[in-house]
Amino acid sequence: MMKTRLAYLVPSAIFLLIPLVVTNPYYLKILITFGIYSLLAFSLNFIVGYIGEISFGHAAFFGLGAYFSALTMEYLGVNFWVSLVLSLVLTGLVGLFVGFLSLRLKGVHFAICTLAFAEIFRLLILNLGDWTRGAMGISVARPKVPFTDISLGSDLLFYYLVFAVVVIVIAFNRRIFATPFGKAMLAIRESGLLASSIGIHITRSKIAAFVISTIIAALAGVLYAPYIGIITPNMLSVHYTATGLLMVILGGRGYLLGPLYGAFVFTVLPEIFWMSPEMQLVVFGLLLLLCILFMPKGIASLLQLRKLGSIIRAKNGG
Amino acid sequence: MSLLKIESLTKNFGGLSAVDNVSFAVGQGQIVGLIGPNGAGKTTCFNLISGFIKPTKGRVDFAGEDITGLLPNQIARKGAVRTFQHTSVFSEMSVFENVIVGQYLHMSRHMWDAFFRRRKYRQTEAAMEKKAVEILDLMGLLEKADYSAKNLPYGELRKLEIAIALAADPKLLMLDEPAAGMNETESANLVDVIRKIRDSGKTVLIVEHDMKVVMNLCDTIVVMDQGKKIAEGTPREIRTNAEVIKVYLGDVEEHAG
Repeated sequence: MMKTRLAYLVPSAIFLLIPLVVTNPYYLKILITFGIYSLLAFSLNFIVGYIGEISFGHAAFFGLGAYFSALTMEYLGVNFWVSLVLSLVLTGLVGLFVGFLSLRLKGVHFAICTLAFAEIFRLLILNLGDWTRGAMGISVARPKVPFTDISLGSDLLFYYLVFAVVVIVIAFNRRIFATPFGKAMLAIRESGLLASSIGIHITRSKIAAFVISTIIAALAGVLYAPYIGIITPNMLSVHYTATGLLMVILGGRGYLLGPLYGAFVFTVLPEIFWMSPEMQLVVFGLLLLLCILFMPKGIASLLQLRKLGSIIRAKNGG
Repeated sequence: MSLLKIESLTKNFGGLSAVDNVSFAVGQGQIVGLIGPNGAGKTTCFNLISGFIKPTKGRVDFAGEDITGLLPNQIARKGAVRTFQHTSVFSEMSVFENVIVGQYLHMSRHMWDAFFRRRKYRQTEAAMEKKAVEILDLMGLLEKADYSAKNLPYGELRKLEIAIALAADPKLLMLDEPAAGMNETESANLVDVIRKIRDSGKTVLIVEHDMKVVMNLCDTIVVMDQGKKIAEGTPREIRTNAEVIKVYLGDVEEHAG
């Protein structure tokens, strides 16, 4: 117990203190990007890592999250925080609809189905220009701290917001996997037949996991919007999905912190080594290849972190 | 009072009747064996009862309720839990975790207690752990509790399967060839364990090829051949049934001799 607490406290402390050491504003931006991308990867980990399917349209929920937030602020006149809640609920509902329809499929068919939905949503946003301003995009301002006049315009404060959200999402992940639902997900991943024979409703559990995943993706999108300042239908494109997928696969699918490692490799390392974008693609491709060949379970497996199931087991004192 | 009653159960695959108008009943507290040569339709029968495939015709009653056409997880929830012919365990989990997850139906009632880590859930967990230990002890797997399931030898994997099914606390335990691939000692031990399971108040329906196991264990035996039921009775009756001997036991005795 003490050990697991420490395992969380030490990294948390490091991330809390980083901005005090790293004063270069450019590095701070990279860290914020890292945080937001890791949320996208956490979201995809629910599908790739736990359900065991690949969603090729996941950026749709990242983009929808951002758009729902921006549009509710624009048309309902609510503030950022209310729009955040509304956006999570709305995206979750869309996720329920998409999950309900697509999770009957498996493998390639599921991937294509999610990709198709993502394109539909992207084209809708692109073409409903009267409301969404189409390809022009919508600009989104930085929010204020609730009940105060302090703007999160400074990257330092925004960094702490993103950091807090990442911590909450990780804690949420841990909680979920200690519940019967979490165990059901692990069971389904290992053997669907056996899972259903002991009373687990497979489709329902998968849909629930999918909805949770879309809500986390929306959370990433809602945060990304005011950080970047403008959102375009491009946010729903397969580019973001692919980035997220690479992070999950490289980081270690199905591992609690896998997405975090993956996001780190894809956002922070290129900056440290000063790679040009073209060079990045080459290096990422190479990394992915090496990863699939030599550590198919990702970085997390190398770090010998126990899978969630084992964490729960350890907690139970066995 | 019969716990499971199937009536004129039929399954056609194209023109072929894998199960053809089969009826039998399993009494509360009994051990019933379902035997027959390869391709007789025993496993299809299992799949029909447990909801993995839907019957073309016929009806399955369980504990006085019509369960025909329900989904496997719904049937498990009613209290009929099966194992598989092809060994199926959660191989990335430890033996202990397998038996904990087996108790899903019990723990799923406490979803929110678990999420909010209420103290009540700690009690549920403790109860589940206690039960897991009991089941592993019964199956003789307690020493291997911390092993990863994938590292178990074959005989113990088959036992773990039964342990998982037991963890779901079924009224009816359906075992699909539990002794397949076991040696003499292991299958003799299996017979003991299944008796203990019955004595703890469960009803058992078992598909099995190993005649020794079936004859030693079952109160009633149902014999199938080419999709049809050809006989039903006590082991003694089955042993002397002319038709059974013709299609099935004759073969076995030849092999044994």
